[in-house]
Amino acid sequence: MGIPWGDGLLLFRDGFRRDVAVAVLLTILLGIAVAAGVAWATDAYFGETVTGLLGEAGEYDLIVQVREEAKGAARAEMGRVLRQLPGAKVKEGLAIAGKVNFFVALPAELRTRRVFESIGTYFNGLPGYAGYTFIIEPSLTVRGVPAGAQPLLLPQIEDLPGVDFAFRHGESITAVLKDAGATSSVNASLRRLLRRYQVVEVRLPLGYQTEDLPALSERIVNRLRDQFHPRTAVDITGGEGGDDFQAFVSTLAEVRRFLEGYASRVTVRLQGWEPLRPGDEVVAQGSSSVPPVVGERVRSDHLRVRIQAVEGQTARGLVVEGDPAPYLQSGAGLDQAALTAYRVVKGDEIGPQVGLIRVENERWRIIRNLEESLRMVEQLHGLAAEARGASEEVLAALEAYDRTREELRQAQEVLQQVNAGLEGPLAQIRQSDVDRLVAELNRVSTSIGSLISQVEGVGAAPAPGQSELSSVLNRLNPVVQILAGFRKQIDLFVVELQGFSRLSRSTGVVRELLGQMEQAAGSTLEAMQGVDTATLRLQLTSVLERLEALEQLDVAALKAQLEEIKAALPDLRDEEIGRSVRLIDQYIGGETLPGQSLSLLLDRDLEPAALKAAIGREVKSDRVSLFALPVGSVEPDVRGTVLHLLNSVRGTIAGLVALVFTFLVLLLDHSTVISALRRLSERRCRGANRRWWQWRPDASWLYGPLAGAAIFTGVYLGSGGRLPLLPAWGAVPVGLALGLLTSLLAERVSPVRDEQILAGEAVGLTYAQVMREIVIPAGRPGILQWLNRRRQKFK
Amino acid sequence: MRVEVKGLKKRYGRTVALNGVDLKVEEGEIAVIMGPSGCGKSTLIRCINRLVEADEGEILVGGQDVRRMSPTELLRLRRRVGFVFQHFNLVERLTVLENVILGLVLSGVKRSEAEQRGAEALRRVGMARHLYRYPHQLSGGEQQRVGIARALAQQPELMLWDEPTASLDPIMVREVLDVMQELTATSHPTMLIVTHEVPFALRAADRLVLLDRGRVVEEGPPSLVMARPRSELGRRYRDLWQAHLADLSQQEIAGQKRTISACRRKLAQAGS
Repeated sequence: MGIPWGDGLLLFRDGFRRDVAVAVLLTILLGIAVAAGVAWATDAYFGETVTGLLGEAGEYDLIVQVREEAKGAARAEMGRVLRQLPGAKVKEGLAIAGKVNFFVALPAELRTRRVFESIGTYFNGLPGYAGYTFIIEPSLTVRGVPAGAQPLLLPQIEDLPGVDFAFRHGESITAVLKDAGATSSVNASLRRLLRRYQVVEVRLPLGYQTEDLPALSERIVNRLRDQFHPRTAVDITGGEGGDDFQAFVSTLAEVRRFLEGYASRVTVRLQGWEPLRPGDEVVAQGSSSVPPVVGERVRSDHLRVRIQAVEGQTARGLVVEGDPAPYLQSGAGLDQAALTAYRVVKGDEIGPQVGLIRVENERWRIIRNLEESLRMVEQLHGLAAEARGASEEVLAALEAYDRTREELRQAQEVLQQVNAGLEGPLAQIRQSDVDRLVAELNRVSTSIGSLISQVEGVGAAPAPGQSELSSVLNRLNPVVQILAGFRKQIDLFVVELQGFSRLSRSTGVVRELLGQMEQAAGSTLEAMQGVDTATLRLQLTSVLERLEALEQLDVAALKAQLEEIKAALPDLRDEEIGRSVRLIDQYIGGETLPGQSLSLLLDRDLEPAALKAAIGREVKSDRVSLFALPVGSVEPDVRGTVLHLLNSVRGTIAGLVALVFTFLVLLLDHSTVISALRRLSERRCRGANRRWWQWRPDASWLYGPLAGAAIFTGVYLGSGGRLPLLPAWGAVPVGLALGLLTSLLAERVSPVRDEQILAGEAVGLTYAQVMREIVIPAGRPGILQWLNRRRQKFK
Repeated sequence: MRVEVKGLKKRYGRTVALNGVDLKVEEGEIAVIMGPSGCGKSTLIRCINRLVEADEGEILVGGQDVRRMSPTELLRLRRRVGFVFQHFNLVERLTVLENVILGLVLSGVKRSEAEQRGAEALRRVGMARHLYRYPHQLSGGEQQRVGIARALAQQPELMLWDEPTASLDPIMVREVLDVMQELTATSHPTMLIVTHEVPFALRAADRLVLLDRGRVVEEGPPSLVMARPRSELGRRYRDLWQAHLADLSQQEIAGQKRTISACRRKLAQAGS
């Protein structure tokens, strides 16, 4: 069949090719004029507007913004402010977005770093004050300079040729130039300066604990200096603390930490070979009556847990759905089925078993403890009274103890006297001595008995003062045991003694008995004297005083306070906490928290990978994240920025006009040519019974895209068009696409009848004559038709 | 201008339009090509001035092989060949006269001379009163007469007629056939006429060519073809012609009866 578009190309013989070429060329020139003209008009209009807004170049130094409703008061106050800046002028500008702009011009002597750095202090007292913007001209501003890096950069900027002085404001350094002509050279110098540095933000791994961040930072800097020998290695972390956003993120991080501490801590003891990773979800029975079944869907009352960390065979996570209460209340009493955790797969399906679940919750413990405390407080007065009674009993026991000791000492004296009276071979014990001795020993025995019963009675002391009482009783108890033994000895001795008068025992035997008794009394007395009853009494007195203070407590108020604390505890469900933590993680980037990051100012040529390795070694973790950022970016002054913006707008408008213009021209002019080409190409294939896959492009499919590419590329580049995301070379494919679209639409827009072409051919017209006399005049009005009129014989 | 076609073949995709056509038409001869729809008549006639490119074969017009002509030679040939289309193919934006002289003026004839020749051609087809009308202001028959005038204005040595009456209603067919009849009787260019009008063909043709499925199945003087057709197609045309003649006889008898009745009525009236 030959080239399918061979017949179509016949159209371009006999001079019509030149007609088309001239038309395309003229179209491009006209398109450039139209696109550039519209863009220029827009540019000029907005340029005028900028001058109207900002005044002439260099006229004003700053714009002070005031809320519109306070305009009158601010205007009045402005006079007072300007008296502090003698020679300064002010002009009230337009109100934009509810704010009135006051343009302030400072005299030359006040255009200094000191004044500019403190300019806010002059104006922040204005009613409705809403901030200020520097519009100093000529100037260049380096934005996004971390506060810590500013002291290093400022003097270097001031040393640049063409810079008059520089000043800091917020995260920016503005270089005021000596002359507008120096703008481009200073701009280049600033960019070169900034290219020498990089800000490296080091984020320490989650959970990394360090008591002294500055010290760590210093260690890291020293290591980097030792390893890389950079010209600059400075810790600038501290200089960034004042940033509002950092504060906000820090607060969020604290909220996250609070929530995590407050939430149920779920631990999954992993079993088998089913690995878990952070971010996976597991499910357990929870408060549901139905345990999870592999392959079924997760129920809403199942306990769903999102895994946060996995260490060895233990995974930790947060509840994201369901109620963990059964695990907290029943603890280990739950059966195996309830404790088994399963992986969640495919979003909502119960997967294989992964391990056993355990849930702990500090909030639940706090509430339990508060409830206990409330019960305690209610019993406090009663307990204090009981403790007081017990303390008084112990005091009484101490009294009895002292008394018993005294009586024992007296009994010992009597024993000694009686024993002394038995000196000599013929000495015999007298009845009166025996009676006296018996009476004395019975008294001691009675006292000991009384003391023992008193001490035993004190045994169950209540909580308040319990430790002190126990301490006293613990001191007394061993002695009381000794006393109990001694009392038995006394009772036996008394029985023996009462028998002496009847049995007339030998003096030797009596003396031996008396000696044994005397020895026992001596050792018992010695044991009793080992207890410092005075100190014990002082302890008890102190306990009594405290108990007295306890009894005076306003228990009702205390109870109310505890109730209030209990009520004040956030009523958050675990799934709410889990979701909140997930949201915060998403917002603050998950693994690292503010406060756990460092900022370093380093030479630009240091490789982040090498830095990361060195820092990782210093913090002993390979999970350090590292971000290398530029130290700032150079921006022109406000007018320059606006003009730059306008230039972009101009480019965009030119690009859009080029796009519309090209499409219109293609539709109006070239769709006729495309239709004619298609008629000629089709004539060869007429009647061919083709399937869709046998379709082949004819000349019209070549002509449209080529014309589109030529026209759009020419107009777009010629008019300085700049569409977002469309580089210069991108004009070609866009033009091709426009041409292709035109090829698709051509026969609807400008249909050409084959009969008319045939009529021309039949009477011996060339294709160019057919186009000039028949096809183009019958087409849509356009440049091609307009040009054609000159060559047309039948007008 | 003599026309000779040898082994002409043309396909449109899988469709065979002409399958080896051989044909000779002597200078000044009127050849009428007939055949069923889709048999390749229009393709054949369009191949002769290369409005359609043939695939194989030879087309000799005035002794020159049309298929080997350069573009310039082809243009020159077309200016000597008149072509009348089935659908008139007039340029809508041009007047009747402009349509007629379009080819002349663009081939270099002076405008005044072209207009004179155009007006004359239009007069011959009875359209002298409509020189400055536009095609859409004319009836179908009038438009076809303009189409014929356009061909005549070329002062052609060969006229190709591609079913000139096929798009017209019966009344307009009569208008156009009258013009054609007059032209065939008075003009002497070689003519190739594609038509379905059997009576016209038999009256006007020097040679009748029957075409079927892309081949010439029968050709010769019309009287011979109708008297002794050798092909099925020829027999069908003969039957058609005889039916037409019978119909005409019936009409004549009815007309004579009506005349006699009218005379009798007049005589009766005169007698009374």
